[in-house]
Amino acid sequence: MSKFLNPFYYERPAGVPAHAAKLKSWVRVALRLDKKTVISVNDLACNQPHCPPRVTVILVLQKDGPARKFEIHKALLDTNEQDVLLAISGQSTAASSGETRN
Amino acid sequence: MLTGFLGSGKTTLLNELLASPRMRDTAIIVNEFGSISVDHDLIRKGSEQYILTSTGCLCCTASSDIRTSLYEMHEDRRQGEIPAYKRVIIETTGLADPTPIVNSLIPGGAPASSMGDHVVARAFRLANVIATFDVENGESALAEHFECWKQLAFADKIVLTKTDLASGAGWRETLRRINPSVTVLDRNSADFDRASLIETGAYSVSEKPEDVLGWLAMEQLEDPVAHNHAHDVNRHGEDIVAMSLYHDAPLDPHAVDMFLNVITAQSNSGLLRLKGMFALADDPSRPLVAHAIQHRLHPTVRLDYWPSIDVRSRVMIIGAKMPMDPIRDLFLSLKSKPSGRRTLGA
Repeated sequence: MSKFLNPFYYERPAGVPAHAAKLKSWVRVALRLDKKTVISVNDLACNQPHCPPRVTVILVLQKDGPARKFEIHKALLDTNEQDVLLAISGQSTAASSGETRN
Repeated sequence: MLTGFLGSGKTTLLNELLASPRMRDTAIIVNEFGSISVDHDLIRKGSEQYILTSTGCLCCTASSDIRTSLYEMHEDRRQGEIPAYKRVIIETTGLADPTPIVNSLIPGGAPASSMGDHVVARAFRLANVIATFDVENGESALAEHFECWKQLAFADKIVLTKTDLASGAGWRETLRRINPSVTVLDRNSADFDRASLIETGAYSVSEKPEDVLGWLAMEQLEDPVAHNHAHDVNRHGEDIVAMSLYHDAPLDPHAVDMFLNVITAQSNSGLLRLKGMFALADDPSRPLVAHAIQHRLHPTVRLDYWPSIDVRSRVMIIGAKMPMDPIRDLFLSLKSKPSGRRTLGA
C-alpha cells in the first residue's frame, strides 16, 4: 500500500530491528566497513552469577580474515553509540572483544 | 517449521492447515514452553495424523533435540507404530529462537553427533519456515523481544493474523524491511490459500537478511559468548518465566472467571501468554478453554468434551518480570464448589 495514496498510512516503528540497525551503522562507521561486510547483532541471555542478565554480541564477518566479535554487557535496547565505541576499542570494563574463526 | 511470537496464531493456523484433506499425511511436532502441554490438546488431530509433543523450549536445549524428535518419529514409523507421513510440521514455542533449530536441519549446519542425526539428515529436509505475525499485539512483541525479530527474519512466508481485529496497514512494508525476500500473506484475505504455505523444496538462507547469516555463524562458533563460559541454555533469560498449575477437582465457574480477570487486569503486569483448560463444577465434562495474549483475555470457549484423558484443570502462564508466587497462591486458593443443580438434586 502506497503512503502517497492512503491518507491513513503510517509507518510503524520496527523496535528491536530498528535499534539493531542503528547499532550496526555505528559499528560500520567506527570500523570503516563497506556495505558488503556482514554485521550481525545478537541479544543473548547469560545467567552466570557474575554476569549481567543480557549480553549484546556483535559479529563482523569479513570475506578476508577471521570473524570479529564484540560484546556489550547490556541488553540490545539499552546500548548506545558510546557502548559500541568502547567495545570496539576494548576499553570498557563492561565490554569485551575478540577474534574467532568460524 | 511454523513459528511466531506468543499468541500470534500458530496453533489456529496449524488447525486450519490440518483440516485440509491434502494434509492428511502430516506428522506434527509441537513444542511448548513450560512443563505442560495445552496446545497439544487443542490441535485437531485426524485419525491418520500423528503428534509428538515436546515440552521445554527446543531452542534452549541441545540443537540435536529436534533431531532426536525426528529420529524417534522416523523409527516409530519404521516399526509400524505410527501412520505413514509425507511431511512434518514443527510448531515452535512462541519464544523460540529459530537459529539452533534451523542450524540443526540445514546442510552445513550443526554437525551430526550421533547415528540418529545422520539418519535424520538423510530422511528429512527443512522445506520452509512460516511465521505468524499478530498485527494487534505484534508492535510490542517486535519492540521488546529479540526472538520475534528472529522468527520473522528466518521466515519464507509471514502470515498476518488478527487482521479482522486491527489494521494491518503499514506492516507489510515494515516486515519487508526486516526480511526483503519474504512473502507476506493475510490470513483473513479472501484469496489466502493455506495449501500454498506447504512447499516441497529446500530451505535456503541465500536470500535471507544478513542477520540470519550472522546468527547462524554465531551458532556455529564454539563459544557464542566470549567471556569464557558457554552461553546459558536458557536463551530467554531469567526474566522470562513459565509456570504450570493444576487443580484435580472441578472449580467454581465464578472463581475461574475472577482468576482470569485478575491475572489479565493490568496492562503492565508482564503477562505474555496464558492458556488453560478448566473443569468447571457446573458441568465438569465440558472444559472451559481460556487464552490471553498480554493483558487481552480472549472470549472463553466451552468444549463439548475433553480432548484427552487428562481432565484436570490446568493453566500455563508465561510472563516477563512477572511475580509468579501471588498468581500461584491465587490459583491454588480456587475452590471447587458444587453446582446449583447438584445442590438441588442432593
